[in-house]
Amino acid sequence: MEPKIQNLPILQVKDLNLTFNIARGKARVLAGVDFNLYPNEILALVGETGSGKSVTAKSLLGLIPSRSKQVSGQVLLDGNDLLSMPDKVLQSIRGKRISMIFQNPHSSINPLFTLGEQVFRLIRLYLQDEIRELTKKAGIPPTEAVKRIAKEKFNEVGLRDSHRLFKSYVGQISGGMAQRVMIAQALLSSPNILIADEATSALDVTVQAHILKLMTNLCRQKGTAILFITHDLGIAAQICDRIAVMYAGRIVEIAKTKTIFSRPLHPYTKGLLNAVPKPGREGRLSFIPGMIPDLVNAPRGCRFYPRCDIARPLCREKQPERITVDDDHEVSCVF
Amino acid sequence: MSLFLFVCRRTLGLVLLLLVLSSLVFFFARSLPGDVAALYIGGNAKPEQIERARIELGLDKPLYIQYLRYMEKLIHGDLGISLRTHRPVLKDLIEKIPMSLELVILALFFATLFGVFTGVIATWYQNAWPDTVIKWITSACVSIPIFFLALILQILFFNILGWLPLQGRIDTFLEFSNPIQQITGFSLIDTLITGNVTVFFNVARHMVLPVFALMVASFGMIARLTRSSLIDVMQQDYILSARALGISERTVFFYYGLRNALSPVLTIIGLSVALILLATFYVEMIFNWPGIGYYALAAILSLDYTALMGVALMIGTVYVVANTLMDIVRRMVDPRIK
Amino acid sequence: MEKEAFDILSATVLKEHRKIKWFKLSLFFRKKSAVMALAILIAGIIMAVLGSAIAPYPDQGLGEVNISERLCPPSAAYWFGTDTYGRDILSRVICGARVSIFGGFFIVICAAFIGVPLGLWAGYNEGFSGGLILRIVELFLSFPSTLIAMGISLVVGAGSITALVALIIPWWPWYTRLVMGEVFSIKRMLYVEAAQMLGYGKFYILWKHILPNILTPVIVVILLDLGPAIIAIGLLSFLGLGTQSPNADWGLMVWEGASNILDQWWIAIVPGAAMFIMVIAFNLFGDALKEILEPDRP
Repeated sequence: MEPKIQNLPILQVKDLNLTFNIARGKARVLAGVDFNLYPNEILALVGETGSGKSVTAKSLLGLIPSRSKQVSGQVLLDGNDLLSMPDKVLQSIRGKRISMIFQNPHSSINPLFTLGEQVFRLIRLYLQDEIRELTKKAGIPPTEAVKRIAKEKFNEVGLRDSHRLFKSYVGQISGGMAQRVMIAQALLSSPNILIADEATSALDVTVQAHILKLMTNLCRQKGTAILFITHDLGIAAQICDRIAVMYAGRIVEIAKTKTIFSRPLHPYTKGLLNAVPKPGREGRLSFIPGMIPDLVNAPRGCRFYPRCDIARPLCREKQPERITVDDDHEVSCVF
Repeated sequence: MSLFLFVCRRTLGLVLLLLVLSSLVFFFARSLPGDVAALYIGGNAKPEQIERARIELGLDKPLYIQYLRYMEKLIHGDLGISLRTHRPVLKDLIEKIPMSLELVILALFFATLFGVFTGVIATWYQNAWPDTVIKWITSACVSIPIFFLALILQILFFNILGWLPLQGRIDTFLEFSNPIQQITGFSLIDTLITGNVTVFFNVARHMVLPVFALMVASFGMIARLTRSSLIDVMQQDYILSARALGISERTVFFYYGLRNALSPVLTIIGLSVALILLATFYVEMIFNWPGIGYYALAAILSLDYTALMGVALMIGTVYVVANTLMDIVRRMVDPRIK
Repeated sequence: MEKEAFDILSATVLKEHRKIKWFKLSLFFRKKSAVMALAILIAGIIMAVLGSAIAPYPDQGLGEVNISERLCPPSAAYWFGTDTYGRDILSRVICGARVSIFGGFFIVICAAFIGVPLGLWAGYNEGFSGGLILRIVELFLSFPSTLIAMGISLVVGAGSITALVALIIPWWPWYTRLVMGEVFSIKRMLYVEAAQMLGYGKFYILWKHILPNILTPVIVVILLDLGPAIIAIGLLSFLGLGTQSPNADWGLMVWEGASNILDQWWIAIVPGAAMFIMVIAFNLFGDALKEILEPDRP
């Protein structure tokens, strides 16, 4: 059942550009990323390694550490540009309104502190009201209150044995459990947006399915939109409402899931879909020849040009514009 | 494995090492050139006297019997009689140890305190000018030979500036007018307990240069390691996640970052104990500080075998015990170590 | 046919694994500190090689006394003054460079030559021989190194060669431990497993696949050990356990000048400063090279 997509986007990314200064020159990692994210929807950001999807996500929250970088463009959350905010202000947004979880759950949790210590700290940070409620109304001491809330949140993500888990270290639990802990932490304050950066890529396939279901259900419940970053079109197809295809730092096509699969317009999208092995289909796996362009000396025109099979000389010169083909279907291609 | 098991295992290892240590020391002492018995008697001894001394010292028995008697005495805490002072070595050591320990403990404390602090500052301002300055200073600290440093300090602070005394533990006239009463053996503590305030400050002044000389090299090492360990930790995934979840940069750096970075630093602190112990020899020599190092050097020069054995045993034991303790502390901080 | 394919594959993996980025050597020359350090090192090595040939007073450098001019402060004739026997300090510093600098190289390289192969063997074969080596290494590392060297010097009798050999003995286990650690992590890499399954012999794997990958960290440690080796030599000779009078040696010279430190500071300070400067140069050089060869390692 698809939720109604409201008209006002909760997050607007406009012309996001990011250039790193490296020894060899300037690498233009993001070259004009545009997309909108609507409340409570699940948007997939799909692309191969090096397309810039992780970097996009991290830039939204100002998590790119390098000093030698140039950023331009706008990231509007309720009309406020996140890129122009100082770090202190961004801190109040991270975890509260926009949360992010990462690919490797085992290394994303501090190995030297117990799970309990880390979760309790976050609860004390974000859920002061709930704590107060428990302590004042029900007369429970604060430490106990925090524990109860933690237990509740762990139950939400399917972790039953909370008391043992609170005393455990991340090295003692499985990958799936660790990712559940991350999800619990990320959704503590019911943020508006959850960014999942390859959150299931490091998990076993069966565990993947569970985690995906968990994420989608919880987020629908809490009204959290998900920006789901992945290289796996199959997963995107399963859970996402819309898909944005990214290539070499630009979004080349963005549309409803059904549309992407039934009527892909951009040559890259078509290539990706063709490359997925389907049971029952015979013959060799098709693939897109070539490699992603060198980001330091990127081609002037369409970045997909060298690998495109319907390319024309015009493509080499000009960056294609974003065209709105249909309701919610946008493509960046001359065709 | 659990902490308890870890401690048990390490303690067992410690005992074994001490066994090996005492055996090594025994064979070392027996391999030294010179005639022990003759030195014991001293002076122009007649052959019969030397022979009698030899029997008295048990040197006529076969080697393995000597070894067993040595081990037996060790277990009872008997380290023999010093050939030079003719007093039990154990007694000599007990007197001298606190004097050296004062310097060593203070040096270790300050080296760790300033070292970690400096490392943190260097990381916080990474690649900015404070970091560069600190890199230079720590490089120099690690490179300077201890005896050279001690001499420079003497020239600078006594000769040129006249701020601090040259040598010794206490000004000579104070030594006679207000002698330090031996209670714990630690001069600073003893003077405070007995209310001997002038001497307290005097001793403290005498301590400044030796302690400083001792701590410099360790300070450099600790600062560098803290910095590199902290930088490495700050690039880890869990730090990124903590930031992404909204935890303030301050907390991320000082609480999560520092705690995770401490494990290798503890190893270096263990190494520092060794360095400082070694440096004590030289510092005590140059600053005329009446501690173990001084005693050991006198033993070397006079070929005082028993004293040398005692000192070697003591230093070896301190070293091994300190390393074991460090291992245990590291395990307490980082539960992943087995 | 398999062998060729595998060789190509492993060559590619090897290249990626520890590529020495040659172009980064140009980065080395951009750092002022590294270039200065290199200059000092070259000066030191020249001193060590040429020795008395470039000393203004070669005989005094080697020990001949000149009592009439004892304890002279620095002057035009004697740039750094003379010592208690009237010998020119500058000449003696130049002559003393040989023991310190070559001695440092000698110790470290010998220690590496002993320690690295043992580490390779013990790391790869985790059997009885490997375990035995590990125990021995742990034993050596449980006791203070310099003191072991001092003990050996005392027993065997002092002298510069003795001191050098005595220092090698507690030094090599560090290399073994380092190499063992590296070998452990490399062993787990898939291409080693693949090689084993394809039936390659132990020595082939060690030589072709494991050794090249441990070279970089070992070289870095060797370079960074040179400074401490020089200091260790100095520590021994300061106590008279190394080079004997009247030969020139930096540590020995500092000892000789220590008693006159207040009035004739140059006798002890000049050789001490020479040691200090040389060690800083080695350390800075090693640091710079480490940044190039192993940028990711803390």
